[in-house]
Amino acid sequence: MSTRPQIPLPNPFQSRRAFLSNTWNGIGALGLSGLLAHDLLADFKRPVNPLTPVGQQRLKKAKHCIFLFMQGGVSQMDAFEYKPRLRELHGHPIPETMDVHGELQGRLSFPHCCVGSPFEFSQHGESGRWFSELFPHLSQHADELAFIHGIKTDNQNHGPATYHINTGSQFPGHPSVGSWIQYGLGSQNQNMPGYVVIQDPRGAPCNGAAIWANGYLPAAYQGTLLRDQGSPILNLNRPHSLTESEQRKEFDLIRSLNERHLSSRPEETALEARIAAYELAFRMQSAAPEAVDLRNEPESIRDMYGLNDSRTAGFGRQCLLARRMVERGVRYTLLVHGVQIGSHSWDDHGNVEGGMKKHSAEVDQPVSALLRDLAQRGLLEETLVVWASEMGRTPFVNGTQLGKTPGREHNSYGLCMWMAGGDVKGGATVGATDEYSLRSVGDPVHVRDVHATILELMGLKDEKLTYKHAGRIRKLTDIGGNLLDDLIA
Amino acid sequence: MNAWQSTASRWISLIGSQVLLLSVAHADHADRKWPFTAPEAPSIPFEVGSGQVDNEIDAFILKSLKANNLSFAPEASKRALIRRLYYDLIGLPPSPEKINAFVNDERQVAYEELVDDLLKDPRHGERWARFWLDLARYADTAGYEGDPDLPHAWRYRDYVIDSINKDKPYDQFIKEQIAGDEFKEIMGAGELPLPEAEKVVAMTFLRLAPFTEPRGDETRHEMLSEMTSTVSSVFLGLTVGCAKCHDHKYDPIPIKDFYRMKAFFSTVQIQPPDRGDIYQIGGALPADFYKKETREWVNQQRDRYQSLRDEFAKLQSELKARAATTTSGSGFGIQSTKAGNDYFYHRRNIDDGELYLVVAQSDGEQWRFFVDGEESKNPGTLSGENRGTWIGDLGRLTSLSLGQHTRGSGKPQGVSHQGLITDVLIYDKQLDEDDHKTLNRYFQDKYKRRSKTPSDAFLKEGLRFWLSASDVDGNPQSPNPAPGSRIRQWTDLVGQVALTSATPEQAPTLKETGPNRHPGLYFEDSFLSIVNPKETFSANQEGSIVMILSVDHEGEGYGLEIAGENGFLTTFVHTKAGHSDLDFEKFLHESDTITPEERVRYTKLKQQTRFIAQHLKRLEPKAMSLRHSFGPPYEPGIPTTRVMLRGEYDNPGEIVQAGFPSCITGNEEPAEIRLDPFKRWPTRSRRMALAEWIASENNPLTARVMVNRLWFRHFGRGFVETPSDFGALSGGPSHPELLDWLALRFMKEGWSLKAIHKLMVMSRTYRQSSLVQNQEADKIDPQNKLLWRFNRRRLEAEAVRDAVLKVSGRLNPEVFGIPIFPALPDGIEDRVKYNESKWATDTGPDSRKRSVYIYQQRTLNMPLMQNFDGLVCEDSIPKRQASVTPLQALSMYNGPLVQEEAKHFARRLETECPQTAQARVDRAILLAYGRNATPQEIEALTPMATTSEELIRLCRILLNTSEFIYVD
Repeated sequence: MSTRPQIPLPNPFQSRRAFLSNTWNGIGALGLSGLLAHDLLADFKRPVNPLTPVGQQRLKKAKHCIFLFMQGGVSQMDAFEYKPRLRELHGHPIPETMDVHGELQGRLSFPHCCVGSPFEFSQHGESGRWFSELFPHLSQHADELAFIHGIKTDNQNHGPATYHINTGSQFPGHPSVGSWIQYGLGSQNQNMPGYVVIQDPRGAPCNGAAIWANGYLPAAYQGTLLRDQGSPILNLNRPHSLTESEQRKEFDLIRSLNERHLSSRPEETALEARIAAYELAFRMQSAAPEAVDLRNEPESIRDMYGLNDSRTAGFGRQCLLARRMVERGVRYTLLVHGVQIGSHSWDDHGNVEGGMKKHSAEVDQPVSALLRDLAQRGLLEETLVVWASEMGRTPFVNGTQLGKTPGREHNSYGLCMWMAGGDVKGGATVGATDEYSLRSVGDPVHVRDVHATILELMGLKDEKLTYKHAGRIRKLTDIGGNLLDDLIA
Repeated sequence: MNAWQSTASRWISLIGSQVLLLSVAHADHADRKWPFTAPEAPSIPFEVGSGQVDNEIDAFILKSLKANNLSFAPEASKRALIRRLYYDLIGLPPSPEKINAFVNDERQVAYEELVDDLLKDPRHGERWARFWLDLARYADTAGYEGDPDLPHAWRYRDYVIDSINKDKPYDQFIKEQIAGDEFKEIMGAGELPLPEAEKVVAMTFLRLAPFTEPRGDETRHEMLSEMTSTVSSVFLGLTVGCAKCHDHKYDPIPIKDFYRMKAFFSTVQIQPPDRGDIYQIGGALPADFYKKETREWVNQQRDRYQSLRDEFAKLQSELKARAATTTSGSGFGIQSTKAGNDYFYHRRNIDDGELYLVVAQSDGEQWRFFVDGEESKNPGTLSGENRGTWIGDLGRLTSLSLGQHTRGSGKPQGVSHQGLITDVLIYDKQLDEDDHKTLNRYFQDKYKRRSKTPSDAFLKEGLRFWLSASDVDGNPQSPNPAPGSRIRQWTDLVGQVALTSATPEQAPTLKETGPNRHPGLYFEDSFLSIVNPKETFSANQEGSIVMILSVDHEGEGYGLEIAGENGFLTTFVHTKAGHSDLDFEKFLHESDTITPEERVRYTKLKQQTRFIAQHLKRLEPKAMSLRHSFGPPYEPGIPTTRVMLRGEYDNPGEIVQAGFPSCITGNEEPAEIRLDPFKRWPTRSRRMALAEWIASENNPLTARVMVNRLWFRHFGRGFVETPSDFGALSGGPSHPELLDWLALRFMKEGWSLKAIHKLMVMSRTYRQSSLVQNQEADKIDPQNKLLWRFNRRRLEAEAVRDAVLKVSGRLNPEVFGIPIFPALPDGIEDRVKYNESKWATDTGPDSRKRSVYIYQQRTLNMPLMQNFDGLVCEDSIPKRQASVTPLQALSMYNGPLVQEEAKHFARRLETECPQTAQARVDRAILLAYGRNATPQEIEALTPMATTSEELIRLCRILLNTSEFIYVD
């Protein structure tokens, strides 16, 4: 200790001086053998700076992903699956079907009666895809979307299923899809977090922040919640008593103290990363408020996203923010529509007609606007857009009575998702449900297949994106997923 | 334990070991490899005390160093050592006094005495319990949807702290957690003995996995599987859980062995849910507070909560009585897409039928309210964020109306004003003090006093709109209608904007009022309006609205409404204010009759009492524990355990018997489970059989796994780098001989953790400097796997927060107790709440207890903790990350903790070093870094230590530097 070299400390509050590792990016090259490397397997190593961008493992167009998560379980047969047979069975039980097992078996053995969709369906685009009347805007994009039907989730409760779709496991504690992608690709942005979450202004989804958590991955890969009130990022506002230049001076002094500390410990790459992290934090303080400031968006854009209509204003704002995130190089944006409890969730047990009308009216125009806006800016090509919910719904209501406003139960065999943008083959379809929209005909698509495909479309290889934790080599898909080749261009 | 029991249990463990010895012998295949072979006593490579090494640890380390042409680094400075020891053993920085005493103590034994003191310090348990809690996936909520509270989980946290402080033998610690209910030996007929409370609490370990809405067999399968996996990885360092669905891919653990292990848990019984447990997470078991101090503390808490409740009730009834005398309020509301929704109240009694002059004015940023010239001191808001930025944000006006609410539609929707309106004035400016005086004089002279008629030219500057009942047609030349006339049109005197009624019934009646009998329009379900008015005030951002009115209605009534394409503004009077509970809250915040002190006291008490019911539940003598089932005829017997193919609960395969992993025993024999002599309790002793086998000196893994965990925490890297996995993927141990030697020593020391801690921190290996002083060594072993220097480390999340509080002088040293709820930034608890928030925010001293006591809410990790890689555990966490992210900078620089504590840190410096700025700098560095300031630091920083404000900044800066959170 006594041999510590004496480094003159710069005078505090001197003007900001040039600093070699000024950018968050600049330090990446140092760190290959650093802190995290020993935790990783030989086939995937990343620089010590956890956010340094890393090349794609295979070349794909998508650089960004927007994940639209609809909380509650969207009724697929009232949205995207046209089932005329179900309408004929309205009020009757489902006829004997072959080999119904698992959770559904219990449901069908109970008195139940079918609920046909109250909505009209029509075909759209060259692909002739069916949409219900609830999606007049989205249906205009029929040929841009690729659908996956009959996805099987591991659990039919909201909590576990929400985990499953967002983290690959129905059990808590696993990194979210966005964390994996951020871990695999790093951040493109110098001034913003690489993984941003915009939740429904009415509240949180099931499991709260755990669905965008980093799990066992380093904290740098957590999703950052963009708030709709107060500062857009938690703790973003500098102390009231400080001006920006005063704060800059404080940061300069912190930096010179940190540099001095580092100078006798040059082997500690984390110390250098820490200096860069403070610089990024400083820049985020001005970049983040600018990123969420919609005042300069022209009226035509505001209208397009539905900001001037109270029904669409909430999700419209989320979608418009998502586009701005993409423009700013944010890697992964998670939008959550719906809250975990009550009438703002797609969990329409009590009245599927009323509920679906309400929820779809809130998202249809904004989602369509997002696709159109990204396309007109040439960004859709480099942005993968994914629509998901945590489960599908049953074609029947439990009990022999329909009641005045029939609802639908949870269905872990009937999740329907779609993707657009990037290398997605527009108009493609993978999987199909039976004539009741009850379950997949043939082998169901599993959530891990969808996740593997998302990784593939982001230029990552499912089998290579690994992390060793608690004695196991972890992957988003756990045991590996099958690529849904038919929806990749 | 009495003598008889003690003898009995020794006898039992003797039998147990013999069974084990037999099976180990049987298993002695040639192909068994590390770690499944027993540790062997290695020869010590260097003589201890010869000068080269200080203890056996050093001997083994030195051997591998020498083999690589390396040697020990010089010893770290005494300042570095004391700081290292403090953070390592108790997780807090040393005080300046302790540092100086240690540095100046030149005796050889000073270091050892320090080690002994710290190991005896109760804070040692708080520090090291956290690591165990990570392994035990400890949390205070169940996770998933709703994230229900586990009110008794904290008992387990305290049990762990207490066990560590007592240096409970590790074998005992294991058995208590796996089979605490099966300790008492049953030698005859009679009642099932009750387990000791402490051991009931210990078994909370098995119930800490996240839990959601149960689904019968599936849930039980998952629950027991989770117990199997966690027990295996925590105590044995074996990922048996990987064999749940298929044979282990890397280790010799067939799927059958997973289910053979699982069979030990097959008679686990969980209490059915309490009534009212809508999440069905199951009930707790009775578990008395087994320590006298805890009992006393619990009683104090109960008393404290009761007196808080009493105090709150008293204050509430006092204020309610006062509220009852206040009956109305006037206000203004706005609903606008641009400006947001908002309602403002000015609490004044104006519903007595008398005329009042009410004014609302805005500067574009802020509303102010006046009644009869007197300004509201507490203009309250009920919702939204608008604070007065509405004028001009309404856009083009679509309607102007009087007498009823239209919600921006221009169509009457009821909620009528009942009473007189004599004047409605709109100014394009704020009224200043003189303007208010002038207006008030006009009002008093015209309507209140017997006097000459005042001039209507009283205040014309900035006046853009004026409805006067004294001139309803807006034409001074024409006579006013007679009293009793229905007024179907009321025209503004400034711009001739005419409000009309659609039907005669909606027209107000002209009446005379006041001593001078001036006209006023009486509204009673009346409504006057104009669509698309041509007015001249709505483009402004500043302005004032003035009304002279009386109120006869009960409940709400709306006056003037200005509706634009972006929203509308409305005035109203609410006479029910003060009556309902909701209104009482409004009254409290807005009434001038409540003092600020009362308001603060009420708010604080309300916050404090809001969560008392939940706290009282936590104080019940219970534990979130489990038991074995009673068995037939009372409860089901031992269920058949089968292999579940692919791990699916409904996919049964072959039947298996409870047995230990064959990779260790070498066979698949069923485990011997000793039942009571009468076999009255056939479901008992299964878990104890497993626990005895794990906590046995003959188990090759248990001691190795634990000493490796301790080594990992002290040295930053385990011999085996994956502390919960000693299997093939671990890569094997870096120092196999030392690991074995330590494992054997651990058992020889009676499984004393403190003995091993001491051995480790006394070693020369531990006392090395962390600085790279040997560049050659850095090339040979850049990752320092061979330990040629000490590994520098960043503080864990808990230690970061604790250190900030310690340095500021505000850490509350109280040990044990129910969870604490420090304030969260920006009310984020409300953003993740389900029905309502569980976060019982407390800003008092309790909130400044150590971080190990923070409420572990699975859906809400404190951002500061999360950013420093502190997890609210969902599953067993053997090691944490030490990542670097800009969010750390934001939470440390801008976040509430450092903001607050930097002030106290600065105050402390001023108190302790009142004389010179230089002394304050030196003290600050000593507190934050544990060393004296260098001359350069003194020179550079002293100018920042003169004023209080600067000193706060300096403190904030120091708390944000690397040196504060890195330990050499």
